[in-house]
Amino acid sequence: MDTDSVLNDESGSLEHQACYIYTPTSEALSLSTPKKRRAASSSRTPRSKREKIDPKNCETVGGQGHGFPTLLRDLEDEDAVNARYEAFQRLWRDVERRTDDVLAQVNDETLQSVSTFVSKASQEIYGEKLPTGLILTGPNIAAHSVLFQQIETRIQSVDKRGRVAILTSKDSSNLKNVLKKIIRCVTEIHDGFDDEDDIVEAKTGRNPSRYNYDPEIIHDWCSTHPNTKVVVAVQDTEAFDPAVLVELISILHQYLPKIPFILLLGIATSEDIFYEKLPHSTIRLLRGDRFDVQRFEESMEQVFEEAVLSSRSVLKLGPRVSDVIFERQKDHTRSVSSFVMALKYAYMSHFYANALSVILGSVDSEESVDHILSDAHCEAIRNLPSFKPFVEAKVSTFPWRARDLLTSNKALKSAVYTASRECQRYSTNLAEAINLFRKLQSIVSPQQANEIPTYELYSRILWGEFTTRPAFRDAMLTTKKISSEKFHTLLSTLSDLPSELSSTLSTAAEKVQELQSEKAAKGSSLVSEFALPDSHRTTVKSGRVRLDEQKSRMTSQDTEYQKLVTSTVQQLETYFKDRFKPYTNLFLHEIFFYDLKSPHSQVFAAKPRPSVERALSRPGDYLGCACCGGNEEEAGISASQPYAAILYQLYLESPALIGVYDLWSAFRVVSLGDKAEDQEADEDDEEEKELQAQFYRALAELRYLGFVKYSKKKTDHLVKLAWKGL
Amino acid sequence: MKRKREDIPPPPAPDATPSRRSRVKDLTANPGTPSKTNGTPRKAVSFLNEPSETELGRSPRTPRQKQINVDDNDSTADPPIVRNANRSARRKSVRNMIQRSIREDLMDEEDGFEEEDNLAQRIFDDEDAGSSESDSDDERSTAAAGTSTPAKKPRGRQKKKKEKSPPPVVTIEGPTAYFEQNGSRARPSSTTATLPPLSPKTYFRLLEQHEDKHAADVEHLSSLHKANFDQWVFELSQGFNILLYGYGSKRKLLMEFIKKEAAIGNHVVVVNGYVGGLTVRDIVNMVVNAVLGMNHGVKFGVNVNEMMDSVLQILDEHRDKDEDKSVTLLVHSIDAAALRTPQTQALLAQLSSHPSIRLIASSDNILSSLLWDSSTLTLFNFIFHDATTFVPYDLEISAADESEGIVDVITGGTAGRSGRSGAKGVKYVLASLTGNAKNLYRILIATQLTAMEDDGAGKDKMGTEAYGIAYRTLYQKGLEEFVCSSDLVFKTLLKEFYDHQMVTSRKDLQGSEVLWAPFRKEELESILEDIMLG
Repeated sequence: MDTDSVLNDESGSLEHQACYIYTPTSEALSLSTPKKRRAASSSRTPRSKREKIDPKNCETVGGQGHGFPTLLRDLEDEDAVNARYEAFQRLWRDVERRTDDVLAQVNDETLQSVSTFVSKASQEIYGEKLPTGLILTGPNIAAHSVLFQQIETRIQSVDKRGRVAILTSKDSSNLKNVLKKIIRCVTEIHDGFDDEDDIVEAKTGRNPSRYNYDPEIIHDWCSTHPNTKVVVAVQDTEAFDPAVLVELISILHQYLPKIPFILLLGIATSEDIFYEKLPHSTIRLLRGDRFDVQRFEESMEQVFEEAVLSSRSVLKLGPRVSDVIFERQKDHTRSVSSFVMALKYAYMSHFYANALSVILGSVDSEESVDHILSDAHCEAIRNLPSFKPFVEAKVSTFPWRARDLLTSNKALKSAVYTASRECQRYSTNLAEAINLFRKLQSIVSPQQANEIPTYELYSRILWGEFTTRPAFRDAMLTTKKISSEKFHTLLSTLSDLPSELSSTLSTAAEKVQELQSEKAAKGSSLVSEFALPDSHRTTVKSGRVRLDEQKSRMTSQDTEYQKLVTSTVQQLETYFKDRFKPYTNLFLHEIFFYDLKSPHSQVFAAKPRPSVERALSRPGDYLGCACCGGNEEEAGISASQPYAAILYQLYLESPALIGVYDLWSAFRVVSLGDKAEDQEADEDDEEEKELQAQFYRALAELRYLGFVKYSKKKTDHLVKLAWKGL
Repeated sequence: MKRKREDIPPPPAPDATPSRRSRVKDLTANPGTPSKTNGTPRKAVSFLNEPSETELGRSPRTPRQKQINVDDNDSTADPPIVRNANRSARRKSVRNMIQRSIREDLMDEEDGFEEEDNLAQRIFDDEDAGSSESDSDDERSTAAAGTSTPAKKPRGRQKKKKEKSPPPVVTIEGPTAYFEQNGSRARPSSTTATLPPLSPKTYFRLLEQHEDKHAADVEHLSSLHKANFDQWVFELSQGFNILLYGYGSKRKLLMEFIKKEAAIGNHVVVVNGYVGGLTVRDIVNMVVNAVLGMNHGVKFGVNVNEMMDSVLQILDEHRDKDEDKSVTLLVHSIDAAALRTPQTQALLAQLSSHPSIRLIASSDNILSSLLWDSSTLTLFNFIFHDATTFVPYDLEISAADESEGIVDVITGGTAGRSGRSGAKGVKYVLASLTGNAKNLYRILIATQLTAMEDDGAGKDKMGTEAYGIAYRTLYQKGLEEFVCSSDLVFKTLLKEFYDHQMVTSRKDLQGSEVLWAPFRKEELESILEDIMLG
């Protein structure tokens, strides 16, 4: 069919519809409108005839509504599939709602200050200068439009201070367009979308007619809407044409006595760059304030805590997948919304492909677990990697229970319920401990806490190796060394957090307080042995002498304090070590922790070039055919490969400038094999011609893919554009 | 080394092709047997026993030979090292041969080989022998040692044996290949032979006749992709957009897939990105048509950005009314030339980010990822899937813009000149021009042909500067024949030729401009004939 249409195209008829509405079923429907008929009568006709859709087929798809497959070798019953889908919907919606709430608050502070700025801005304060707000939005340009939308809603709908016109660099082609857009946004007059310089008819008799880019229109509008301000917000100042911006500012400034303009400028880089871009005369017209937007790391951390750590999120990320996700965040996207999408994909892939994920939907009651799990599910659970250690652990203590787990589905189901409780408890404890540790870190060594965000600790903690890490040991050691005041603050802060240690910590805090006041009465402060200043003496002896001196100066309160410090730190350490156990110890961790690396690493980063190169240099990898050396370690060129692959491999061996004829003769030799020797090139030979046609096609494909282009320097030569693996 | 190589006589392989070396047969298949033609016995064993320091020293660029030197006393002791050295030497020799065979041509090569060259050749032979022979360690080490030692005597031409050796594997890739292949100034092939042209009709007939040797595998591959259709539908329904990449046309696959989307009850808009002249407006209009029906009567402004705003508004309204019915936008080749501007991609991204638009697209170019910046990418919210199909890009390459299309490859591109329109195109252009323009072009090529005739140029000779006509002369001739009345008119006429690359010009040494038509003599004659007859 394709070749047919190609032929037709060659003969000049308009066969290739650039875009059309696909009509799958009835021809009659498409006859109703001329455009559709054209689409249908084009090259699509044979296709759309052939592609009539079986109405039954659509019903099954429509009836099911989601398209979740039946898993467990089709043994999964329909209820379970639906339950899986339903669980996905419910759990994800919950996470989404909570993250949305967090995200809505992320910019709240900025919005608040911008709003105050706008409401306060008046001629009394700024005089003849144009009130300007510089919003330092940070480098994540994807988030900017969201922020400006929020500003618009805030000022326009919540505060009702006036109208907002958001300008982007796309509008900056010329001043006229910019003004038109401002006027349209402010007055909400949609005058038929014409680009003509129409004269806007005056609505009231006393105003003369004006061009549709005349700022006087805004003035007219303002006179009917007293006490409103006109906010002009430039979303991407860097990309905005500077010349237009300068003109815009001068116009806004000139109209300032008539119209209460306020200018907001979004700056992704820095103020300095902005100042350099505009002439001083323009900058002198501006006066205002700057607003910072919350840093990416902070908002990311908040979202992470809410979406992943929170006990309300039943499904957690495993360490491998979170490494993949956060590495991508760190190195590439730096955007919270893309993290949310990655998280969503984790949910999607877990519920879509893991039949046992249905358990997540019914963790709350034993009955529903009992109800939803079929025999096939039970069998699948017994095949989980975590089932084996679980049973083996039982064998030594309760052999009969181990047997039950293997033989009775009922016993297994109750074990599943217990295990799911256990998993949730683990997660809750983990979140609590992480929270506690972060607090501790932020007090003890704030710098380190800033450097490593929670989400980067997360995977280490899940592996259970975090307690052996320097970061952890450092934190513990520094805790011992901090001054008594800080120690007290630490204890009281930590005791405020919900944890099993909180009572112990608060008594300790009281004790410290007591000792401190006793010591303070003597006119000095509490010191522990750990907090003693480091001796820089080189010899051991002199060091010891110094230490002894200092030790001798320690009072009984100090000794007691020191004991307290030692025991508290000891307690904290055991606590953390207990909580930061590897998640793999848990039975059913495969269900409660999504930890598949591959969908994420592949689906969020396209690798078009490696994939094409691999396909062409080792076609056997994809085709799986015996002839193309699929199992050889290094597959070379062979005549059995697809023509494009042969040509590509010849291309790889060629120098930067390739003669087409050379390429052709090489191609011919490889393709014909031994026959090439026997027969001399005979132009009229049909086989030769056919091969030539294949060569042309392969060459055109290489060009279409972007591997070669024609050389301008020399006729009949190609320029090589890509080197494999480079 | 570069210079040295240039001095070297042509390689043993008599052909000009990169892969002729694959035909090079192995001599060591029968070690110890004198080669049939050149009469020079391969004394592999004796090379092993008598390594010559001087010989080794002569090729300083292969440091690994030193290793072999160490091994010489007992080469069987450490086969892996030998083999490694062997492999690297082999790689290098392959490289040499490729280079030479590519740049060289059918010149004869009777005798006088450089040793280096010879070595390369033989290293190659030996490897083939090593792989084709039994795995006996003894033999292998013999062969290996043989390879690592340069030959002393020049060898003559080798005649091809009929037995087929497995094609060699070339392992130079990445940066090495880049520097190697760019290292010397790019040497064009010195062959003047060109490919015989193939008429489009024959081309398509032949392709249609042809039975693909991998039809079954290709079918299997696409069935694997089809198994994922449900997943794709699910991903689309969750607000992600899908981008397919990988080698092979994904058109058919996507058209199959779209049936599923249509079955759910979504409107489906298909966009063939590879069709030249496609604009974003067309796409947006079609989306609106899909939502509102054909005769919606909504008019859009001239500014595309404004248009997008109002379309998004329409979609919002539509969504409020008709929540679960969305528009599936299928874009074939989203990276095709027509859609390649950042502006277009930004608008598409904006459109695709709307909740009631589901976008599934395919991309073909190996650099397609460079189309999007982080902001558009976030809006697109793509899920990427590797959909390598191995289906030929027939439609894409034929429908693409002329400059990239197969038609160009067949008619003009490879078969004569490098440019957009071939001589054939010139006729079309001329047919649409005024009589004066035709006459001017006639004068130009007639003069050029006379010059070529005087020079005794063959029919394949390209028009070059040497046969050109001075600007002033052409103008004078034009005036004489009443083709043009003023310099301005003359320039206007010429501009048309420039635009269609029918004429090329250059300032010569005196600074006067010389014009000529960049076609072969044969083509010029046929054009001239056409003008005279028409």
